Amino acid sequence: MGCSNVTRAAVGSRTASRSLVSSWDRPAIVGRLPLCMPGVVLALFGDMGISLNGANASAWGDQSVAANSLAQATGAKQPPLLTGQNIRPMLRFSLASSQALTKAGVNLFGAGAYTVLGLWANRAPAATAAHFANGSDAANSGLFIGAFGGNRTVIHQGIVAHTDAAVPAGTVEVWCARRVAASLPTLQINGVDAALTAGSAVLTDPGLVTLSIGAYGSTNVNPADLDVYEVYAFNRDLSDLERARITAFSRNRAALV
Amino acid sequence: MTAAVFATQSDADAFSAAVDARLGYPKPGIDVGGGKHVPPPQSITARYGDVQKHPTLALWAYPSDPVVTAAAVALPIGAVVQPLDATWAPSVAQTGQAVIG
Repeated sequence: MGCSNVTRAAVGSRTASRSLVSSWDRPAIVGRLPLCMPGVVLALFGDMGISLNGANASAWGDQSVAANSLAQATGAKQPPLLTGQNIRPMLRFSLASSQALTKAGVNLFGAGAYTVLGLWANRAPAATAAHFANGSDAANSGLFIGAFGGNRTVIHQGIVAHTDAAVPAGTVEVWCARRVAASLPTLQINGVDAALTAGSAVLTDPGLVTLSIGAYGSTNVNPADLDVYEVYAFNRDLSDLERARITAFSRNRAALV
Repeated sequence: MTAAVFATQSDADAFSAAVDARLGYPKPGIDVGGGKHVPPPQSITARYGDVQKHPTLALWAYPSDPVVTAAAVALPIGAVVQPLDATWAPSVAQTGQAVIG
């Protein structure tokens, strides 16, 4: 687990060097809060574990012990990795190119409890959607982050729908979808409860499905103009305090606070 | 999306292979950013684009974007580059070799 990487030598070297090298130049596992929490089954950071084909990401390595890394073997469907001064490293998915990173044969949560947190920005106009899902549709995805329908944000496949056209496109937000077993999921955006719309339902176990970010499942439908900075998934319902801490962690990393 | 539409899958696959050869695919992934990366075989980019089958008709499409256009690969006789709408139907009968784009 990531926390075990905190060694005396590592701490000492960080203290002694005091360099001004950014975390992108030399990212460290140390201090990655989600990796220190039980039940993490997916931890994606925009400044870690990325494999490039030119400027585009061909794989995004899962930093959790669950090894749910995502990949894209088709060059035209690989999102570019954006880095630079005053930009947190992130993957910029394109709707027009149906860009997506996927992993087939995944069942992150079954029918049980989960918490999914993501830091991303929807670049599409407010009338289009960015959402994620724990799919109840075996033909689609187990965890999906992309675009869907006429709402700005939706958690799809009979889970939770949220409509809010007030946030401008490109606004970076921390999303948190969670549920306890056999109950309706709930949604928070930046730590604040978000209203749900009709269509919510209790999920059944989706079985082995495709984990996908950017477009839907293995078929690359419903792609999104989406900037994804980081994503965490837990196979349990995190406490209020835990969720607040991760939200603050992500917002700090994105300089939103 | 603009795509080259083919009447046979073999033509589409051959075109895809020609594009990949021109662009140098497959390519290994280059790991950046520290942390855990996928094993090298999982980060290989196998191809540039995917051949898509029409949902009902015997038509196959290969997406055309600036990268493919820049590769300037000759299309087989009969293939047409066109906007890919719901019908996919080639509207112009191609009579000779063409260069995509």
